[in-house]
Amino acid sequence: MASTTARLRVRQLKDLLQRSFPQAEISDLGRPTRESRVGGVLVWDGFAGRTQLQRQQMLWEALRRDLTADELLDVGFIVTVTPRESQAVWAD
Amino acid sequence: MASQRVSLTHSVGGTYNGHGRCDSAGGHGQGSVGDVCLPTDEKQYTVVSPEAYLRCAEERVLDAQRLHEAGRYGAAHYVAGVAVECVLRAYWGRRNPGKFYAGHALRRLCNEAPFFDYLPNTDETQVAARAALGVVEARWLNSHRFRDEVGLRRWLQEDVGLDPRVGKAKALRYSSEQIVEAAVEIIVHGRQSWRRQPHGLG
Repeated sequence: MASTTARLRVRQLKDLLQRSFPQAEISDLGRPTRESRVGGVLVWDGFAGRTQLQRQQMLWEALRRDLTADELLDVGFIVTVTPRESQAVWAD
Repeated sequence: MASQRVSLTHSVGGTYNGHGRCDSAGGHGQGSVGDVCLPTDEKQYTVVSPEAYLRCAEERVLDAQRLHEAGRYGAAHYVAGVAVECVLRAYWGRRNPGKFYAGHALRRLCNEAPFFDYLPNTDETQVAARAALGVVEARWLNSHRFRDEVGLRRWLQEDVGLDPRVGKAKALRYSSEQIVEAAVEIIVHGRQSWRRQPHGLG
């Protein structure tokens, strides 16, 4: 799919996420394989108190505002967590 | 152990080699029937790499969200469960390189992976992840792929015992939201903990 649609630049997606989610930390943004869609991890304090579906809806609303339909097809799964959840991975 | 013939067809996986390309998974040796690994004819299936299963889990959970948003609640149920099965297979595959797990019982697969051992050993994470798996396990069967929405609604009401306060018309939507939410939760935990070692091996 990604090979037949507009190739989204990782930098473009990172800039978009930084504009839409102020002070967010964005990590691992990229393609796990050359033919994969762009995915990554979005760590943002504003996700606190929201369900995963609500976070994903916020994310995709932001993406839909700024990306073309073809570019949207090149976006994969982006993990949406709070800083606390992100730190908890190595907390124990 | 005597060889047992099984007919399994699976897509080719691959291992990301860190240089922008995929190598085919290769590994042949053992497959499984039911939930038990058994030797199989190496030509009958291809082992999917753990990394490919993890990528597939991310793709399927995104698909499940789109299906739910589009009101395709029956398909959203099925695909959400497949996403969870994929992430559990990814962890199982790390422990059992070159083997194939043919069962679809999520709890058993989770225990044998052992998925929860790889997640942070904190109450917050363990409770959230276990609750999410419970939601998916209660609502998902591999046979849902053959179930129309009328059949799925009936199954949910009779077997899951949906909250009677949820009206019949909204039952599928409610359950779809529950299972997709839980699937996202599990995939997020699985993705975030991928580089961790299981408890006790630090």
